[in-house]
Amino acid sequence: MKPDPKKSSNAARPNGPGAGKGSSPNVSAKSPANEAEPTAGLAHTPIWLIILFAALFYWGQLYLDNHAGGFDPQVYEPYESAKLVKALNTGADDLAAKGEPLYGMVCAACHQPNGSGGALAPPLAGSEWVTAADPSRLIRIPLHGLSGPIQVKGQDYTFPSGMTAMGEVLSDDSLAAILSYIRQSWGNSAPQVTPAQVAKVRQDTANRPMNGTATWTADELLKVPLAQ
Amino acid sequence: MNQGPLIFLGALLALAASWCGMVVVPNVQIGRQQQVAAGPSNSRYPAIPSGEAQRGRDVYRAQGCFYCHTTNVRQSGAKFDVVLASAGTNKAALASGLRAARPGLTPAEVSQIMEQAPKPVLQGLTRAEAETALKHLTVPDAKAEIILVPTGPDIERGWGRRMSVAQDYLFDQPLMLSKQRIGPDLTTIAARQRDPSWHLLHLYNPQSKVNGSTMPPYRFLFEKRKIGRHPSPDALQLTGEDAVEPGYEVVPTERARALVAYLLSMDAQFGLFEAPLPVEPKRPDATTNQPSATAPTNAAPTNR
Ligand code: HEC
Ligand code: HEC
Repeated sequence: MKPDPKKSSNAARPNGPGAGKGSSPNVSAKSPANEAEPTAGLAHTPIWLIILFAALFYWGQLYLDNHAGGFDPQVYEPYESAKLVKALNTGADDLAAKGEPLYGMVCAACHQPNGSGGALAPPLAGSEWVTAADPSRLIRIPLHGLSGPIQVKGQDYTFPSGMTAMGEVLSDDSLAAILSYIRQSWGNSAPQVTPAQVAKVRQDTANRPMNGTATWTADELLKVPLAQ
Repeated sequence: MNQGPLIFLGALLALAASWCGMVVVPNVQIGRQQQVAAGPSNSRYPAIPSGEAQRGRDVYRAQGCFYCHTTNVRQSGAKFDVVLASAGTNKAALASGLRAARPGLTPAEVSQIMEQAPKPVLQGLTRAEAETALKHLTVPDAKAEIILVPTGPDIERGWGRRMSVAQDYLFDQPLMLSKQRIGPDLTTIAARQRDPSWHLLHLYNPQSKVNGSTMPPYRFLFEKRKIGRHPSPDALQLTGEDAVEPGYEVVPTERARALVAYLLSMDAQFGLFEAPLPVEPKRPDATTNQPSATAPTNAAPTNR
């Protein structure tokens, strides 16, 4: 049987540039029509390749451990970890800075933007109510309101209308921010008030309504024990 | 091809793995990013660009400004300064703390630092060193702080105060980070150059503003026309060789004005959670309640 020219050229392909070294140089010379279609066999992966891949994989893991920042979207080079980024954000939990605009919205109308007080409210600047080391009395004032005569910085004040209760409208976070702000402004320098402290006072006074019907008086507040 | 399915599966696996790693995972991580509160007034950042600025971005893109300008500030590290925010009243304890934190201080320098607080005590430390130094300065009544200082060549060039992060590009569509820096990075150009008329004149003829500038002029974004009944208020104040003959004026077109509005919206320099910036030390005894000076104060030198 005469070799079909088309087939023979097909069979000759393994001899082309890409052909394996092992194949016989004169495949086309053999009777190509009888030869089966060439197939790729399976070979065992050499052990060195497996070890190489294992080593690369291990190195990749180590690299990710050291440079991926725990895959946290908030961690960018050159910072290594979410913990570090958090620690660098000292300004972010600066409650007083957050409280400043809130104070302007909520309290400044009566206590004045500079905390000096006036015809509507006593001063906050320099007030011992504000700067007491333990803020548990201070927190109660905006939560439930305050009325009756009060002494601030050695001066007696009486405001017929008193101070309204704001515990229902202000969250723990906002209240903590406002109180931190008034404790650290206008010459006051007391430690900040944390949201947890506000939550604690809310809990302690849970059966006191925050709708303005149960405002504190100064005398009553003075009986609230302070931690030393 | 008797191993066809195997090869197909292998290729599929390789592509699927990289698609997961490069598309799915980042999308899960930052795909839902939103505006955050940032800056001195805690406003929403990044601000939604005005319509004019958005059209300006299209001009920026069409003119290929990104072939020469990047919008990506890189940061290679961070250093830490220890600053005495306020000296308080406990002078003796503070003075010995200062000498422990920085051996070799003369008594005169110690009292100078205490008088001039807020004042840096030590600069360019690692975090661990800064923390050790801070321990010495933890004196009742006095207040010392560690201040973060981002470092890197871009920051030294005054192109920004911190690295750019994904948040900065929230509304940038398409993203024109670019990779070639024939001109300076423009991430914070609005902070360096706030004057719109400077930008217009610079676009009209860069060399009139910057000696030897190699930036091409964009005169076709301006229109030269006969002065009508009144000269136009936004006509360019051209001098020297740019001056046009009397009776004529050069006014920016809509495109030039939009482009400048876009440039003036490029102001990515507020500290973010993931790219923090130092908060200026605030004196606890400050009598005013001015928002502390976190405003852009870096007198940024350009690369001239
Ligand atoms: C409606 C006006 C008003 C508003 C708003 C107001 N206060 Fe008052 N505040 C007063 C008055 C009046 C008193 C005095 C109460 C009394 O008569 O016993 C007072 C007393 C105080 C006191 C104790 C006295 C002192 O000067 O130290 C504190 C603390 C205080 N307010 C904090 C706040 C805070 C914080 C806010 C905002 C969340 C606020 N106030 C909002 C009117 C107001
Ligand atoms: C051929 C490269 C090139 C192109 C294209 C180019 N610029 Fe520039 N640009 C420069 C160079 C170089 C400088 C630095 C010299 C100078 O300030 O003029 C520069 C400076 C600037 C500055 C001032 C930067 C600073 O820090 O003071 C601005 C703004 C600017 N280019 C905007 C643009 C805009 C907008 C476009 C597109 C319309 C553009 N550039 C296109 C090369 C280019």
